[in-house]
Amino acid sequence: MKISLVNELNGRFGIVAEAQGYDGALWLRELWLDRRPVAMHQDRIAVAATLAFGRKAANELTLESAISPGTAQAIKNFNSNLSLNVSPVDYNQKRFPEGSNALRVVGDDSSAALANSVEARREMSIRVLRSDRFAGSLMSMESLSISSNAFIFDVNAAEQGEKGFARLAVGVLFAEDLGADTIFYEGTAIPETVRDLLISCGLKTK
Amino acid sequence: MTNTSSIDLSVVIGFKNWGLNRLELAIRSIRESFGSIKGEVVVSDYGSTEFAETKALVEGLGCKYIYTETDGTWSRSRALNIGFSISEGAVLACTDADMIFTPGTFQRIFEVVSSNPASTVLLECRDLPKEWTDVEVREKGAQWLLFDEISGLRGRWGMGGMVAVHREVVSKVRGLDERMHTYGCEDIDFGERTQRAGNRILWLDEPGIRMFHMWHEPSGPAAEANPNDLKIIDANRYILYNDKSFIRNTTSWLCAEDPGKPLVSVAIATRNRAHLIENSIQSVLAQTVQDFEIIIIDDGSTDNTRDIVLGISDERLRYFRQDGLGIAAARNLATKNARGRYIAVLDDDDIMLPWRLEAQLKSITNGIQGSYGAFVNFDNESGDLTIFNEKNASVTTAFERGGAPGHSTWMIDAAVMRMLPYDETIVSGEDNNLFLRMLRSGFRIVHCGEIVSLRRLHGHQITQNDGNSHVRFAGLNRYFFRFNTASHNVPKIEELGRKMPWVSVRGGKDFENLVRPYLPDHLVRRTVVLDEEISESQLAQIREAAPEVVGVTRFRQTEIISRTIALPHITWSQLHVFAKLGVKHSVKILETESLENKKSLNIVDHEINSFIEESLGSKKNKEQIKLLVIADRLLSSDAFESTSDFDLQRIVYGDQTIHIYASTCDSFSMAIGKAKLLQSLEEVVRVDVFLNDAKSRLLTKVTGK
Repeated sequence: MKISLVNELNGRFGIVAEAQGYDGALWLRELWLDRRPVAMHQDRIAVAATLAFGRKAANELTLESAISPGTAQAIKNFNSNLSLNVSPVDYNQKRFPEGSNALRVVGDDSSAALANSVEARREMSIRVLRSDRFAGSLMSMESLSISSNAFIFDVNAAEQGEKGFARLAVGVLFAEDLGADTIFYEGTAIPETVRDLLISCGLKTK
Repeated sequence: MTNTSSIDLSVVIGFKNWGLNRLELAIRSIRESFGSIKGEVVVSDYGSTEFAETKALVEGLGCKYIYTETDGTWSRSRALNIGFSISEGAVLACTDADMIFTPGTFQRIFEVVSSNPASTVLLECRDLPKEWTDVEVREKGAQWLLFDEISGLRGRWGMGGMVAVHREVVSKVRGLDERMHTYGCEDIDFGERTQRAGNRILWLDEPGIRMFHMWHEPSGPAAEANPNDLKIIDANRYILYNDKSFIRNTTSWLCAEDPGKPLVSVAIATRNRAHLIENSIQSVLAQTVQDFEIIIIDDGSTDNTRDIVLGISDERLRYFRQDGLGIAAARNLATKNARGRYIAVLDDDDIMLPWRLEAQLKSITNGIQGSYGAFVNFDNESGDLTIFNEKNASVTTAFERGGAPGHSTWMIDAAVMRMLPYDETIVSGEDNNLFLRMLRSGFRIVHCGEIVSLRRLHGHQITQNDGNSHVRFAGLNRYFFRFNTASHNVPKIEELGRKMPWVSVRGGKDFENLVRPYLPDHLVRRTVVLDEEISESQLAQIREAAPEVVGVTRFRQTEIISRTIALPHITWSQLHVFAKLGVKHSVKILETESLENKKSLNIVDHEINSFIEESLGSKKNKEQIKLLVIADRLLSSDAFESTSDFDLQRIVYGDQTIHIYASTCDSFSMAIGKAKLLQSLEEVVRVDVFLNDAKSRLLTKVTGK
């Protein structure tokens, strides 16, 4: 499976997966967002792509840019296929992106209000909105609302215990922009295999 | 193919005269390889000449046996599909009667498929050497460690040795392709289609998990030496390399179909169109794909719509009523009640062309969630036709105008329609709105390359009666669609969209000839001509619906060249009979008149044109002038200087006989000279002169006798 990034003239940014070799054909090939993140750490992109598409990769996962060995290993574990070949890998030491905020990933229907103060660690929310109902993006000092087709990935995902993974992927992409080093789902515990994947790119979970 | 049984895995073996010793060894090894799982073996005997012994052997081993009588043609696809239809396992596997398996192999296969339902599991075949035929295996017993050492790995170029998938996948792709027969390609085609349907391919390569092929003389080279078989093998290869759809056997399928899970739900929302909806429903009933249901949502009709709909006797018709909640709500109710994998939209005043569902299903391939096509507007008074073609739908082509393909041509994955329902707050343009939302969400809806619908123009259309709302909502739809685009990029995208080509459709400039026979009954009179031989029972069923049947037989001397059945004056209420019987037929606008009047006989014209096309071809290939003389009886040798240079054929039409004399002339002037001479004869009804091909008729003289 080959992963690439696309910036379209109409303002959409996308992670595009192309099935290859023994991969199963993808029902949906693109994870679209109505805004491109500013900070684009390769490990974070790889983890986001893996959350959206990684379980469909049969033998190879090829990314646009090199990732760290730890993230590559975490991707293989997540895929339950240790013979999965993840490339390219960069063996040079690299820092994780900086951050200190906690980022809560929510969907359209969330109404939870955030109560930040100077004493406590700042909590941000990223509201991943359905692209068939919303267009564009909107930001405040506490939240980012962004239109995406992530909701569609839940259709098949729910049966395989992967509901919400694509929305989490959107959160991973914007974590650095929003100064977060911790990410969590509203109301749902993050599975262990996903936790390891997030940790590998410098994101803690609650 | 829903599974409610306790069987874990079914292994199906396709079989025909393949040797009982081999079969028994295969069955025994498979049963031993089930281990702790509940497995069953199904032997689908497709046309063995002697089968009583096979049946006794298989059932004596505690396995299922099903026999199908055939015309002698071997088709592994059909054999396996029939086997699948009586299988009960949650996982389905297929193999051949010359394969043996190590203990525990099928248990492992079941474990892998169960934990990875979106996987197609394959085993690489290991060929035993010449010294190990089924005879030696029987005599010396299976020696797995030895076999591992002495066998040769065949390589991963075929998938026929063993394929295992979850049974839902067999249903999703509708089994192996039943067009394929004799030899070759059906295994690879099946495997690749499961991959196109979303399965990843998993070659199981673990210690101790083995499949061995007992040696025998190869069948492949023998098949390829026979020229007839070569054509068939080429045809199989053509399907494999060119047909990229994953759903097959759409027009007929030997696997038992579950009427509760049709392939397509045709959704018709209606209100007070009692005078038109029957024709729409009839057009669905006449589809070449018969695996559908029709969902009618009556949005509060005050006329006799309900009586009209319920008066059509077909158990696939489902009627629902709601009290005037609007068309979007009606369509959402159709989606909610749809049981099909795909939803095809049809307006209650439109006509679905018979090939529509088949063409659209064929266009569904990797990562495609739906299909649409071109449509032809027809004036309900005059029958005037105008074609509306489309470009390939994308964000780019939709960008400038925010337009969508004709709604009455859509066929969309039901899962998409459930995720993205119609917006019930929109009064008009709800279809546009939905299509643009689908594009924004990354769904791919493709043009199927066909004209699929006839759209009726009449006085009470929504777009005619509610133009202001339509414009208002169209503007809002477009604004939403373009909202996230930076203004400096707008002209660039619009320019790109304008440059995209229009999709060519079958029929092209001659589209009128293609679609006119399917206009409503008040605009055309049509004749159905059967394109294949049918059985007596099929003919009897046809006669029940359409009593007027005319047989047209063409003879050369006493040899029958063709036999055609023509049925004149067929109405829409009768057309579905041919589709339901699966009989290949053509629908033409032909009128028949009395032979006694010696006027032009257009059914006979059809036969004559067939005759001309056969002798001249439909393409211009060389200069040829063909003279055709049609007489109501044999020309006497007195009246006719010489008939020896004429090829004579007879067409028997009902109780009449037409004689056709065909001759090739060296020049046009010679042809005209002969024509003038012959038309004076009392027996002659008509004289034609053709140049080069059947479409270039230079002269027709009807004598009026």
